[in-house]
Amino acid sequence: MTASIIQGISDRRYYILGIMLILAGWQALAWASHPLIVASPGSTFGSIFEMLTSGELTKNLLITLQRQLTGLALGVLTGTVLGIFGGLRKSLDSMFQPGINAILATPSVIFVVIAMVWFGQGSTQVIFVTALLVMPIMYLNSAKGIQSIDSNLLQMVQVYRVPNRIKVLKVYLPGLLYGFMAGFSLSVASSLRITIMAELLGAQNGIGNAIFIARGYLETSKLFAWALLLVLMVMLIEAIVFNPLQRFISRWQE
Amino acid sequence: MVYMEHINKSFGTLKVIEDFSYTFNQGEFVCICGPSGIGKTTILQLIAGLQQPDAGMVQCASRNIGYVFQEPRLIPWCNVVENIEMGLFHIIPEDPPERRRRAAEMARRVGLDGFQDYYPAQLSGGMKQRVSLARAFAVEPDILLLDEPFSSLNIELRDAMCNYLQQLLALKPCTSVMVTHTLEDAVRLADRLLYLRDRPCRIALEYTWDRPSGQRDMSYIYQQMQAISEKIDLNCDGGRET
Repeated sequence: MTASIIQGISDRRYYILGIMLILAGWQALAWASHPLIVASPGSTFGSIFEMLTSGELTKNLLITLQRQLTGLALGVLTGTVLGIFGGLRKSLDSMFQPGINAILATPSVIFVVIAMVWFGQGSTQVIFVTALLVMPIMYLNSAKGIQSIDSNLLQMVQVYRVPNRIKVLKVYLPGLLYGFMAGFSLSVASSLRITIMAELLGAQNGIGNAIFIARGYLETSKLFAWALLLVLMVMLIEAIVFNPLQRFISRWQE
Repeated sequence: MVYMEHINKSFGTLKVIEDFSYTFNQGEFVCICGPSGIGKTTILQLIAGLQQPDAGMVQCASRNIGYVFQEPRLIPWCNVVENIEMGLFHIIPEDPPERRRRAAEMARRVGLDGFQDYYPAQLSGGMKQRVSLARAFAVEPDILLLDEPFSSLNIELRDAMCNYLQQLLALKPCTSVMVTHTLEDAVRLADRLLYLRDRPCRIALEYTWDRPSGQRDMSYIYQQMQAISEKIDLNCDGGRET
């Protein structure tokens, strides 16, 4: 116990050291180059403060989050439902595989362009692309979760004539949960990236659009500010949602 | 009572069982021994309904079956009581507190008092197998199937498991069929031994003892093991002997 606490403190120290090294490297790079090429940490934090006070940050952040969460929810829902069917029936899995592979193999920018043709610029396009690209991640992980349920356990529940409701609750759902969690944590980070890319190419507002405008006006510190904010957002989600959830579902592994 | 009549079972082109008939008598403890891959586990699975025969019929007087698998087959995210409870859902569907109480009582009977809330990963190999044994007896089985239940345990744990098994059987006698590679377990526990050979498998030796299982001391067990080994060698090419 004490050893693990000491190990924890020492790990944390190295983590902070890692952050310091990045900041130092970043500052050194900023000193060595022009502010239009690399914005310094100071000017980046200045831009964040400026965007915060002007309301630009909150406005764009809310629009992007709304699109991301809608796309994520749709993608997670369809991917998980299809994944459950694919996991339970090999024939369905084989049937879904070509579609899933096609989506994964196609560069995502192509879907943005196609969606712009179909839906024009704006939220629908962004949500569609986000959902479409999250779906295969959830499909593969959910199907794998179901398929990796121990067949020995299924035989055991068959011998003891465990009712279907209990079978689903005690065997299938927890089995699915591990695949789901792996897919979901991947999807959250990916969906943010996809949403911003789709906004950058085909939306009139949101973080992606703000980045597009910042690039146009050569506001490098703003570009860096958005990049930093996005990294912080993903880290925050990990810290407040995933880590506690992961700890909760893996309590039986100790 | 379990009747197996003219059973055929193949896996692909591999004929494991052909025209196999045997009656497992009510309340009798039968051990099935024989080389690996001969079809011993298949016989248990046919009785449990986990495999269907290609031909013939398996008839059980009751479908209330307890099964102790070779590996404990515990659900990793369920604790000891929840794992034992898995066998009770179809017996006590409407009374969760009673189900819990019975599962906890079974945990106590196999010496797992105080470990009810532990997850399988927190238990030793012997404890996990005791949970599996408790789950099998929680259903108050009429037929108990044991598939090499002690094979992964060391000698001490094996002894302890044999004792638990005998105690539980004394409380709830049932028709028991155990597959084992260890003659000592067979002589110690069984009323009857079936030795299987060849493919498709046949009963090369059927053996019973003149002393009930509770009255067999170590010298008797070793003497009987030697006698059976000799008979098995003699009967390699011969017919069935009783």
